[in-house]
Amino acid sequence: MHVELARQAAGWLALTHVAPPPSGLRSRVLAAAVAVRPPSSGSASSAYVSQVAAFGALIDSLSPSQWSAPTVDGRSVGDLVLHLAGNDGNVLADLGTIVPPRRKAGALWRDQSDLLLRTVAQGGDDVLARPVRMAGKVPARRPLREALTQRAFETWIHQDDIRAAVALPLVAPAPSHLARILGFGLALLPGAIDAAGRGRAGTVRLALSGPGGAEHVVGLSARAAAGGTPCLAEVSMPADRFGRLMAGRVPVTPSVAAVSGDRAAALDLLTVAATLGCE
Amino acid sequence: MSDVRSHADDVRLRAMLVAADEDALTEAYDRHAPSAYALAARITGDPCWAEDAVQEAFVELWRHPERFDPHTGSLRTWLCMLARRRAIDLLRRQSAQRVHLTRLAGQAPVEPTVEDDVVGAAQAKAVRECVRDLPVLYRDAIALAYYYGLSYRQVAVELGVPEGTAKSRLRSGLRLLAERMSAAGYSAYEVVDAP
Repeated sequence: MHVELARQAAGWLALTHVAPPPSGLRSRVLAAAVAVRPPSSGSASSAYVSQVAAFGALIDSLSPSQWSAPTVDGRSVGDLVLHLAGNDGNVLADLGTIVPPRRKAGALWRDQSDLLLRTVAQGGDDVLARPVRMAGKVPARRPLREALTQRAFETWIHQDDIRAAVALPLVAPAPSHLARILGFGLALLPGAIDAAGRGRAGTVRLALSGPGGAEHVVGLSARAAAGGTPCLAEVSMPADRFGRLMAGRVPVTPSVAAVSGDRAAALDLLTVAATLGCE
Repeated sequence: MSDVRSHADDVRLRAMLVAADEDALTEAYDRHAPSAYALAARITGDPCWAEDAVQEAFVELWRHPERFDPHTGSLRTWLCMLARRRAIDLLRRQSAQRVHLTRLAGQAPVEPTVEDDVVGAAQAKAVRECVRDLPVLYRDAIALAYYYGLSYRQVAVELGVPEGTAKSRLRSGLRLLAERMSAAGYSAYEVVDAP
């Protein structure tokens, strides 16, 4: 009886219901689309794409009063979004892309992140190799491929800043994206230790746990090759926490990580790592 | 699916589309083509034109994903709007062509009779009203399955419930709908399988 009633109802619904699209339509639509705009083949921007999506969803959800909430360093949420857009804009300017002016921070940020994503998608390897300004206290230019990872890093950290300002839980990047961001920072670390006047022979074993984590051997100077040099200390902490430490969002205290061996060497590494962020 | 989660999905797909990620287009198609197609087919009354309208809507999304603003509406609404616009364009073109052909042939175009339209429209209206008045749990499941053409599995994803729950809501909703249509004096209509 119940089955019969349900079948009758389905019949009634057929009056107002249309069959699903034919199966061949899917491939025709995809072929027509890629014929007018080729798909991107690389994954260089995948971490940045993901952070742009997360950041965009977050700022869409903010109320007017949340836009003026103070963030960790006193800037309002709106000012922080403008700051992020400014650093994205520097990269675009170096690529020769002109962005139409916008008055609202959210619209400006979205226009610029759209343009950056589209430029990378259209440009291929040539564009990824072009040197562009990096964000940060020390002026530096690196290939766009690396700059994109830094854009992902900064977009994540400012998303965290805004989440903290409006009392939302923090969200770490996807494990593979976090690993890429950490790899980007760790590659800069030996040189930064030298620049801080703390370079020395030897390495530190950095055990980053949790999603995106891995074990890294970090040289304490860019001048000495890591292979064959003694391991002076071991530092263990969660991978996402180390990422936030690199951004200067986690204070370097004696208890910030589990340390064994040469504590001074370990703390030097952590102290310099905490300067790798871009404000 | 909650509004927050579906908004986050729309923003994610938009960013991937701007980055020319083909997987995002495939995902958008699988999620929203049934709705866009159902709408275009209802407007044009012709499966071939509905296909053209859907194709043009998705090509437009792929070419200019930046024009979709997730802050003002969902990706499904945006795609349905594009498909609707294309469907109406196609109708207009066809309509102009038909007038032209009619003049050439020297006779009036064949249209469905007014009576056919009225009877069909009255029944369809009664069904829609009956669906609208169902308890919300059943109504949503039925609307997604029958008006937007989603499968049981897709209904479950959209509603954020297990597949078994989606299935039982559909069954209960259909039973209630049949009872109410019957109570309103409508006899059983031709039976078709659920999607």
